[in-house]
Amino acid sequence: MASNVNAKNVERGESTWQLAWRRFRKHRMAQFSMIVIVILVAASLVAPLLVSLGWIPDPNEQPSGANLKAYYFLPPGSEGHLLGTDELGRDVFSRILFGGRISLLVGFSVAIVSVIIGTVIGALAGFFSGRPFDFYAGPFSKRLREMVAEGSLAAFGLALGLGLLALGLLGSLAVAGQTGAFWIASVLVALGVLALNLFGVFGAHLSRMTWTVLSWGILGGTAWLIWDITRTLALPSIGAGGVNGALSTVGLVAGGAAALALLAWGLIGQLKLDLDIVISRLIDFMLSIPTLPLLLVLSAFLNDSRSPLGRFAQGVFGESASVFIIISILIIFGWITSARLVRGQILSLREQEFSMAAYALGASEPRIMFRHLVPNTLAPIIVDATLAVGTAILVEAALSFLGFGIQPPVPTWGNMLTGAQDFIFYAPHLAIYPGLMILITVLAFNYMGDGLRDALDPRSQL
Amino acid sequence: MIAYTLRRLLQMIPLLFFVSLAIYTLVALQPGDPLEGLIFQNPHLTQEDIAKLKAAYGLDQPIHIRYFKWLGRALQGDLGLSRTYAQPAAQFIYGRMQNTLLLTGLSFLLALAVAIPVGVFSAVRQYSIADYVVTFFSFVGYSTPVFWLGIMLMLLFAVWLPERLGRFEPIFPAGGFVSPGVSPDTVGWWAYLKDRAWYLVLPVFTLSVLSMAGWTRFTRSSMLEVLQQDYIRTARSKGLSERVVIYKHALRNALIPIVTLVGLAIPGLFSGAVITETIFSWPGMGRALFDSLLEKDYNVAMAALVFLAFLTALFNLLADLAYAVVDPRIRYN
Repeated sequence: MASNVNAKNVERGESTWQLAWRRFRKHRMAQFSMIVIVILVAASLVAPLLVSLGWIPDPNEQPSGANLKAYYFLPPGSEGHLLGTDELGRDVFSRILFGGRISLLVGFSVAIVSVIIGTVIGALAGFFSGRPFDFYAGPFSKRLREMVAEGSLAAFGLALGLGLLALGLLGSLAVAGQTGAFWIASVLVALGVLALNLFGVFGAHLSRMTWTVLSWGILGGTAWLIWDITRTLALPSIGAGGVNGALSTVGLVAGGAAALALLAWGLIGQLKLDLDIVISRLIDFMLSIPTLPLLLVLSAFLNDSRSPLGRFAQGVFGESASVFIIISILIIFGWITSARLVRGQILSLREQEFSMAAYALGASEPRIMFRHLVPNTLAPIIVDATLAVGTAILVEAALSFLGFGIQPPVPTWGNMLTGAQDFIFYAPHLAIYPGLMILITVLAFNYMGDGLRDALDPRSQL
Repeated sequence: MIAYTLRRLLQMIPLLFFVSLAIYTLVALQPGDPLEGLIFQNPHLTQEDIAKLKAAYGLDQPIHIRYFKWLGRALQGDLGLSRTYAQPAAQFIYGRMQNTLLLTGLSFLLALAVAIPVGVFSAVRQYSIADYVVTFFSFVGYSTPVFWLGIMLMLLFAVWLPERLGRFEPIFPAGGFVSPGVSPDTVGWWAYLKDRAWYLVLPVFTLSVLSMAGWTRFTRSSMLEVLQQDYIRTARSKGLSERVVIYKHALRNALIPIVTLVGLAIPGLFSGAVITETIFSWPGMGRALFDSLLEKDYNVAMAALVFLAFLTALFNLLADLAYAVVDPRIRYN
């Protein structure tokens, strides 16, 4: 039967993605879920517009004037309040729309970033499993290899030490909450690199290294500045969430991860460790810590303005700091699933004939890994990313429900339920609708993941 | 096999060291210290008194010193005192653990008892209406936020249904774990057990839904995979009855991956369920952990977390070993 199917596809000239789409259309629930998700995204996008048009009240608007109590706990269907009002007289429908913005923001950014990080880590671990990690690319690496050969470990130690010093300065200045700090720190880093050049650490690569560092510094600084302007202009008007919020979170997390990864890369390469063993131990370690308590401790720590990181987050993001804190925390745990998945796939793919063929043709290792092996793991990665959106939304809701996630007044489906339990006797609508929205959204993502699994699995029948 | 087990056990030592170090650092790094409340309540305390108190609790020392002191005592079996509950941390956790195991153990058994038969049934009748219904409900179960489910069940059984039926008593209570004044001495064992069971229904069901749904899906897909194997066709062509084919040939092979999954869920039984325990005011481990972290009761938090980390590592190992036992093709060396 399989050969028939292939013959038909060749005749039609159908690409893999067209085939997948045709299969996806057979899964009715998945298609229906996709429509639901599109509606949810659209509703979240237009919510601020609806407020400015005056069609729905502001999510944080509380009634004022005499006889306040008449506005509290209005049942669904009351005049001007489709789903009623809560214990402070705020409109539940509007809060649900705005909560959806946060849920989708958290879901998408956590899923995308953690799947990307997990894929890279998993691919490297799987590809270099069973031998010392020696993934060197770029000018720095050749000098490093020479230095190892010369035995000038001291030079590497010096570079590491000065680099850390610069990072520390950057951190401490950033905590002060000054944008200018970034520039000062950049200059310090550049000076550090120049100083190290005087010690001859970089050898012949002096000019290239300096230029690289400087140009990245300028690029980063410009990006920071643009973002800073957008933030000050846009954040107060749209509250938490929004495009700039998502972008800056992704940027900050990716930047931090890249810095850590570079450090780890140098160390593991230097010590000639097997990356796979290091990663597997790290995953063992992270999985042996009970997750929920750790999430609680982390978010309590980060959400408190008395801790340096908490102060930093609140200085940068203001009222909506907890949104970005939760996104970062979920990413710290989110990459593990996809890393394990990709690692397993790569381990088996690298032994197959097509990868041998690529070696025989003289392809470089990065090329084999990223052009031949990783694209073959794309199907499970896409499915995993879809399911990860649902999981992230659920975990965020649970944390916010317990009061450790996203903090009021930013509305989320989770924190709307926090107080609702106390009012179920006379205002059950406060408990019903936010939870229903979580259920519908997560269900839609799970069904969509299921449909994608069927559509992208080459073994599944038509 | 023995060498492998020993090596894995030895590897647990550095793992637990790093886990406990990480947890201690995280707990201790939390803003504010345990004496804050005390200082706030008593304005007459002078700076000198506060310094004395800090010295008495060892809070004046840096984190790494405190960690190694804790480690030294813990290795000698002394897990310290719980500050908020004024009893040894180990004793306190032991008591809470019993409550939790009752709740989590029952829901674990309920989930297993439902998931495996339903999963097998749904796989055997693939693409039937019953299969679609099972699949739909397992998707819904998997996507429902636990805390919302708990509140909805409470709403249904403690508010709406009693109202409709015109009775004052809830059908199932909205929280707690035993009626006031009910104990084996006052009402006798039978009535006592009935009362406890009455309080258990909603939390046990709430807690089991997620794993029930997940394991049903897992059993179904594992069964479907096995049913496509050649040896199933062989068994059928030998003329074996469908019952023997499914329960003896297919199910036993399909259970192999389920053993791992279920084994890995066991440490979770001890850690309790913060959310379910919070909603139904159940005095269990999850709640104890949550409160100890909130109140900075370090000794309780550390004892509980490190014990849980140990259990996770242990059951990871046991799941791997069980895997080798049920599937002779797997060898460790």
